[in-house]
Amino acid sequence: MYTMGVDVGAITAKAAIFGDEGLLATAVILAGYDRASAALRVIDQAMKQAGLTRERIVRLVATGYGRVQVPGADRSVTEITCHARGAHYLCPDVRTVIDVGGQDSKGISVGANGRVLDFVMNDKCAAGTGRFLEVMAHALEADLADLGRLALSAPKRVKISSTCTVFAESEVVTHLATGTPRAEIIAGIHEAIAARIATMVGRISVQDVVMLTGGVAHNPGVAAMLEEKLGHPVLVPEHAQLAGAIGAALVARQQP
Amino acid sequence: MQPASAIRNLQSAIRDLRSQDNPRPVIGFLTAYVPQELFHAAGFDPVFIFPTPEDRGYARAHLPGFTCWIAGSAFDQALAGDLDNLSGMALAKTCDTVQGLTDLWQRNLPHIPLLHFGMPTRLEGPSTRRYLLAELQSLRQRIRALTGQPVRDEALRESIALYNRNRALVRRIYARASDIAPPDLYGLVRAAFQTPPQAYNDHIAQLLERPFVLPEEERQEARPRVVLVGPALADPVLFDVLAQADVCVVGDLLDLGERYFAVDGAESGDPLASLADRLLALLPTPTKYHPHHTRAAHLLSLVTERNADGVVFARQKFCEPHGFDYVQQAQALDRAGVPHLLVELEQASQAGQLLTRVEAFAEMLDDRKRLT
Repeated sequence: MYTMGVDVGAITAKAAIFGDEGLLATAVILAGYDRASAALRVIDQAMKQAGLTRERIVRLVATGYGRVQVPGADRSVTEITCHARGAHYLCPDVRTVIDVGGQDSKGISVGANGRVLDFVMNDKCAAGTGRFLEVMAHALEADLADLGRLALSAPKRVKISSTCTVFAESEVVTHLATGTPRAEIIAGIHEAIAARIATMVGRISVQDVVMLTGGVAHNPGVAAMLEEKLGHPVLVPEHAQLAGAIGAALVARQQP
Repeated sequence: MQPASAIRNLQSAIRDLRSQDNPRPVIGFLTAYVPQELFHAAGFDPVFIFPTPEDRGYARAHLPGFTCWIAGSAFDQALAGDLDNLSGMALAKTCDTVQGLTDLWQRNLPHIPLLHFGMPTRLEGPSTRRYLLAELQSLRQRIRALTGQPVRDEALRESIALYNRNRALVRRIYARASDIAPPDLYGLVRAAFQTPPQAYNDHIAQLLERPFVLPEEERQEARPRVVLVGPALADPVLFDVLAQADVCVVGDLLDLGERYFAVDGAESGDPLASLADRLLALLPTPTKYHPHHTRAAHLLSLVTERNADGVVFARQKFCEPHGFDYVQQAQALDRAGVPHLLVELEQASQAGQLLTRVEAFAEMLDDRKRLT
């Protein structure tokens, strides 16, 4: 039996296909403004990789911010449930999942069976999300993909006192005006976002193993500073960005 | 006719009723402690002033930014002239915001007379009842000054009986809450605060005469059952989101919800004492204190009695009393192992993030149910 999970987020669309033998194929694309079209493209890409046609997919579960816009989905399930299931698949000992995506971030307490025990979610503010890093990368003319490496290379960090995206950007401008090295500012930005996420996640019980999922998991600077702020090691699995899609495909397998 | 469509018909009938010319003058009110019976006996129809999504900005010139939507919107509507047809506005002084609003109202809206009274903070104490009776007596005198007519005891007893019937009917609606979609349930409850009581009673009585057995596919037993906690019935977005998430509300601890309709007034004896005794017997809102009636204990018993799977706290942004109250209640639920979710409502909340939170909570409760 083949099932598919499609996770349409604010920035990227992800898909994962499961067969009886396990994870068969994955795909990640930029979502753009047309969520339905992005969903169709990522579904197509994953099916090509698996060498399957749509008819052979028994069930498709959609998740993420654009979950209701996925054409042909049998069901939509929230990204909170799907990230918990996906994280449990990637590491059965996971007990805390921190999902940091393009527009929001979540802390999820996970049971031994991959079920959600409790969760917290950021409010409307983009400060603890990938959007914060995007804005900062733009202000510092840095490559977003290189931001984490730059943060870890800095010998020291400046203090970014505000974790509001708008105010933090003006703080960055002030630091640049006083000649503070760019890497130190970038390190400060990473510390600020990690502190913001750690404060939010602190509202649930943080237990090992802690896993970072979502697109921001690709940033080693955020993972390292989250470890520092949480006082727990943070696991970043290979398929961290795909945890939601993988979880959705697993939910599709369990569905009667 | 299915219950859901019957309820929608009723709501439409109530809307029609409100839009008709009402021969009785209307008194607006805020807070969950205004004795509607006293105003009704004086010849008014009391109507709760619910907030609206429109913000004309008039109130912003007078109120700090951290004023809750419920108080802010009522003041904005009044300053914009939307409430000019009211014969007066009634307030029970409860929280600091309402306290401040009384001064602002009197200074800026002299054409809408304000009728307010002090509701004691401590609901059981040596001087509580005496104080409240004096406040209600003073309110009765000010109503007399407004109308030129005394509020007679007999008229007050009749109004108490009418509102008792109203409360009994709303209690019957709540008894069937699990069979009614949240937007319909709270549409009916909100209507009780906005419709002349006799007309409401007539319509509801007709509705409740119909059998309420839902067809198999519409029954909600399998859906997550929650108790809803919060200040008022301000934001209908929440009820739509609960319905979208397939959540069934089996009870509530809303200021204008079940607690408001739980206690009747005595129909004989001193009618003013009946009003006072009823107000003191209501389960306290977070601005009040009663040594034996604690909200946390009540919430736990409600969860058990209604076989609820979890609790949704719908906090209105900037409502501090409910914010403080949340901590104590959440701790009590944690100790009892009852899952709970906190959502914060703003003026005209956005459904997107709210839906993700509520849906995820429903999925979590569903998983727990399957495991047990």
